[in-house]
Amino acid sequence: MGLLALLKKLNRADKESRILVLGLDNSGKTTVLKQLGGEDVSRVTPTQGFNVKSLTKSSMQLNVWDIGGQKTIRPYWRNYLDHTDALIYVIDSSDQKRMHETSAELDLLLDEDKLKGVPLLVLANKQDLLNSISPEEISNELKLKSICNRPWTIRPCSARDGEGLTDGMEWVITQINEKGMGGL
Amino acid sequence: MVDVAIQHATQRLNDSCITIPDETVIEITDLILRNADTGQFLWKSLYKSDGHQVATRPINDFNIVQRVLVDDVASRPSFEIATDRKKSICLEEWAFRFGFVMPKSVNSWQSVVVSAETKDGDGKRETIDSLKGVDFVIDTLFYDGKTFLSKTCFRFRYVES
Repeated sequence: MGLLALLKKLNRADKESRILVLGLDNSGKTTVLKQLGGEDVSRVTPTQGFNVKSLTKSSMQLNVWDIGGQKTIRPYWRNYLDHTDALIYVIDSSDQKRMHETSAELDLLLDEDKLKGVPLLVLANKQDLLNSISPEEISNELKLKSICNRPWTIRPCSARDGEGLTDGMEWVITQINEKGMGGL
Repeated sequence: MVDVAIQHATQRLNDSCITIPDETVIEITDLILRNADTGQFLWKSLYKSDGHQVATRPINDFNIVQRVLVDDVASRPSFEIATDRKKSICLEEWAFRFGFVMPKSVNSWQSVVVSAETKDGDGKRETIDSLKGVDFVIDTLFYDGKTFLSKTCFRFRYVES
């Protein structure tokens, strides 16, 4: 499913919806966005700032923000948290050495007041690689089951070939629609 | 077959009047047009080149056009498209607020706009024939709050191949 198809599923006709995509460097955030936009994903370079995809149809707008994940950029993440409707946290499932680091960064984000109650989709990316670990193992590493103050889910995916992205994005849109109707 | 010939023009202000983080430069590095239905590449600007560029398909043949703006450090861009500046006809205008921009960063903004229906379907989309010989201008204006920072202008013209 592309971003335009997602836009059509949104119920919030009179409002901008904002999805924030974060994660460590090389986790595949930009590739996720490019794959959703139907673009070539064979040449993706490290993001040195942000990439915004803005989709507009009539009065409906969907903005997806991908912020660079390098260590020097991460302190700036908090500048982009305002009015977030859903957080997508991307993990390189093959980078087991940095599971602790990505877990610590996610914990910091979930403690932010501006993200209070914001639905969280964790994408266990790079499942196509032989050395990747399963979503269940990542869930344990990140102690996701201890999250009780927001809707969350973890989904396996491969941004490189698009596998699993539709499933995750449909969950995100459902959460945004429910939030718009007075849910969490 | 109709081709698109593009004459490229830019205009920049002196950076010394800009009160945003040090060594900030406002510069659009690429403007890309793509058919968002298929991802098919239509046209890419050559920011630092002179002369005309030719694309192989008229842009408004497509239902959805995706614009990709890549820039170095920017704030509050406002796009404007006008067919004829002397008559000040503005076809489309839309703004986007970036908010905070990291110093010395390179950022991109991709805007996907679903076009109007064709006139056959009671829509407002212009036909290729009505656009021949008309200059199109895409103006990109950058603001920091209410302070005007810079403006970049891309000029298009549809021509017979």
